[in-house]
Amino acid sequence: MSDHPIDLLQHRLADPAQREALIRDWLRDRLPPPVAEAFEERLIEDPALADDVELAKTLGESLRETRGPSTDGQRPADATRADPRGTGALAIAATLALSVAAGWMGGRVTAPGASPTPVGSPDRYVFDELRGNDTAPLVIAGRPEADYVIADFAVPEGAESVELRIGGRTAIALQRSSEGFATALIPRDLLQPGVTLELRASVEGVPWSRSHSWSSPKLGG
Amino acid sequence: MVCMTVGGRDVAWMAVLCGLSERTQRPPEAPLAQLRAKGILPPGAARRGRVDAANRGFQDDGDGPVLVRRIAAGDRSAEARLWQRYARGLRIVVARHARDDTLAQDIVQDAFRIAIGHLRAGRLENPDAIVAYLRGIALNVLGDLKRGAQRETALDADAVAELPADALANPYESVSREERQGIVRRLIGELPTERDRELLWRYFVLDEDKPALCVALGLSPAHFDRVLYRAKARFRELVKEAGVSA
Repeated sequence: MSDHPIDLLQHRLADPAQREALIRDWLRDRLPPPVAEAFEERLIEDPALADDVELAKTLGESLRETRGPSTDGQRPADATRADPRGTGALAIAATLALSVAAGWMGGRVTAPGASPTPVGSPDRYVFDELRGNDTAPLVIAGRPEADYVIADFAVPEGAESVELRIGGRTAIALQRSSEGFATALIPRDLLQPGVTLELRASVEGVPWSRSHSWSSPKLGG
Repeated sequence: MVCMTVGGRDVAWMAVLCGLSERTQRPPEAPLAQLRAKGILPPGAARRGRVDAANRGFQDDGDGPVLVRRIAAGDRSAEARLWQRYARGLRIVVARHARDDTLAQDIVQDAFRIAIGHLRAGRLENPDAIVAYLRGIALNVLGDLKRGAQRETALDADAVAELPADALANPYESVSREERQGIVRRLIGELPTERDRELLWRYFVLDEDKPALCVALGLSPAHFDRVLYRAKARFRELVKEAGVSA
């Protein structure tokens, strides 16, 4: 077998476990560009692959949207409570970040388990790259009782596969806006003093990253 | 039957014009050439390619390159076939790039109208590249939209046959969001162990990867695959049932 990525793609798709991993990586924008392109062409012409992709996507979304007791009293959130690393909160952040990207704010959060209701107008922190890595962000004061903060990160033009890592834990995929910022809604309790907010992306195929150390900046700074 | 004397791929095209079955007339090399052109198959990998192409379940009837030639020859029915053949997959791809399902549907419709205009004019020199061509047009339309640039004028709506939106549908969204949530709760409730429920949750929602989950939950990769496979199969089945009953 050739080592060519596209040749490897064909063989990975033929193996059920690797097919699943490939679909997952594509949905999360984790495939290298040449492989992603080949995957997408295959997806367009292969109805079975298209079906597998939509099944995985819809099942994942439905699980994320599900909350409250199930028919047998079993809550999906039980698994979250068993998670010692507390990554459930990151999932909430990911869900909220998607909501922000879609222009939705102030509604009921559909994160399972905690099912929090965010308070509108939270504090907003703008990490502008032009100010330098260690420069304090611009802070726009919101309502102090909000459990979340909005964080805007400047990212360079052409940035793809943008992700935010909080304290080195599970990454949250973000989207660069036309204004040049990637926005996340982050649970305030994740933002302990000293925690690192690391932004990673690929700019024209070259890895790019910026780190910000959270230091409880003063409002209005 | 005069058209049978024409050699190469034109046989298939001419056969279509003569009303013969594409399945019986299309040269067997066509899918392989397509795979090689994309680099999916290395040169000379004919035997493996033939098997793989068969396994992929591609439809010989209505094969993309054949449809391209039919459209260039003025066959309007081939335009509808092209739409039915590729619209759903293209919509999935565009939706991932656009992060917007509704916008993706509009983009795919525009892209097809533009593409059909080009194909009627015979502007696609390599019909085997039809999939890459459609993807390229769609992503260009999306890029233009993002930049606010002037978009290429699509053909008049009357000039292209109606592009039925049902070809774009995600079958798993044929039931309402609330019904899907009910289905997911039922699915979770049917899982035999708490560990399997946790697996599903951490994999899909917390975005944890398979190797880490196998270690954390003390599972073999084979067990992991089984749980995932059964969950998906059950979800597919329940959505189908709900769709039928609705």
